[in-house]
Amino acid sequence: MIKKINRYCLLNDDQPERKELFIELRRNLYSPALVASCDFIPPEHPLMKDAITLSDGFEALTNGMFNEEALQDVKKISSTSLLAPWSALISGVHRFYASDYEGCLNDIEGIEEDTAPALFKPFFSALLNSSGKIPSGSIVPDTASPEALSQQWKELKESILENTRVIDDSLDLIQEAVSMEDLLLDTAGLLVRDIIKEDRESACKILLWCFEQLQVKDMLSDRAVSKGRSLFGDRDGYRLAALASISFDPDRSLLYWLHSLQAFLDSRNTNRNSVQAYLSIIRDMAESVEQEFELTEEYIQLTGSLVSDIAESIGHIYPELPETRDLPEDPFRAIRQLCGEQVQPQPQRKVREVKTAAVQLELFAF
Amino acid sequence: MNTMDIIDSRIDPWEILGVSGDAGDREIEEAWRKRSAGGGNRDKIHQAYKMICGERERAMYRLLSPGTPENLKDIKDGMPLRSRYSGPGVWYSALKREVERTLTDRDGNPE
Repeated sequence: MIKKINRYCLLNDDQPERKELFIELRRNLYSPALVASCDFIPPEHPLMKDAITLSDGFEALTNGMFNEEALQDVKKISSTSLLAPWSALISGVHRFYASDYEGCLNDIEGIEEDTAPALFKPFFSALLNSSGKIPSGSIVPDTASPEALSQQWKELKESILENTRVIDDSLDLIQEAVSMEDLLLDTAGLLVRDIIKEDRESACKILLWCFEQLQVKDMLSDRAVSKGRSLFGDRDGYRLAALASISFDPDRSLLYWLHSLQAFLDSRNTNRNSVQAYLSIIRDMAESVEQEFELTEEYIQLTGSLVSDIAESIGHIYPELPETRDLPEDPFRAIRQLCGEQVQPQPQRKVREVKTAAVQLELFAF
Repeated sequence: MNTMDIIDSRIDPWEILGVSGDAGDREIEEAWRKRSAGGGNRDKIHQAYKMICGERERAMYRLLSPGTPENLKDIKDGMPLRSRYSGPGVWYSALKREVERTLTDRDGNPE
């Protein structure tokens, strides 16, 4: 191979042998680093420049040190270069590491046929399509199953993917613990902590699934909500509790939404669209709760206290909003006003005599 | 759309409209027009558009996400692959062997 690279560099562009070598090297050159290591190619030779850019880029990429600047350099490689197919491969591998699997497959499928990097096509196709990582509409036909891959591709797969057995075992344990709240929350908590940094969405889904299982049996306990807050922070912990209880316990869900919004406002990292989105959800929940439930005086007072705190925080962050001023005492009317609605005179509301607290008081403690 | 409409819809509006998660108002509107004109389930396309047509709507949808998963297997299937950085050597080595295998298959004579 080295001799052929040497011969290729010595020949002029218009010599037929060079064209033949070009085709052969594109088909068989398995590493730009091989070209970069050829001492006989001068540093200023375009092929050497391309080889260094690509081999350095690929080394950085596969060691987790790649950056946008390096990617741009790789993309600048001319399409007529002997090493051009490596540019598309590196872009595809970059997307693979960024979990952009559809983009990865597009880049890999775009590699010129009859070149060495094009040999990665079946590998990526099997790796991504058969693992369900690509929307069904974009699945590449004739996908090989990972089991059908040849030994070298299996070894590569094992080298570039973490062993997922720990996750599989943890999910099995969660499933088995479904009837034991403490064990369920602890087992889920361990897995969530393990994956939350790199895959927050799946972590959310796992906790939400656990909350749903607990809701089916009984209302969501304080311990469960506290677990959510300790794992995801107050804002998302309460939000997940609110989502889990939205159909089972709308009155409790409303309170969790209010807590989540308050935590969001306390973070001081807000934007008006998100605050308004929160308020829209809270308004919808409040409307449903007000219509469908006979509320205790205690519940109304505590809701009012939360709404009042939220209005104060919103007024502080967005002083230009008139809706936060002169709020009605009734929390449901106050919520409508915060949403910018015209507030009608207060209707007569049925209030239930309080014997025991309908909602646990701990919910309202900040 | 109100909260329960979004909760009950169980659709991924970005996927239906074929736009990325960071698409802005204009890109989303163009995708909606294109998809609506191209046939398909217009109600669903319109519903998807209404869900994410503005920043506030997108924020609301995200607050109401993720929907409650049906089972743990669905969660597992939706997880991204846990990739590992292992240097260029394993890639080159795999490709070298594949190139040699291809040459053998083609010529019966590896280089």
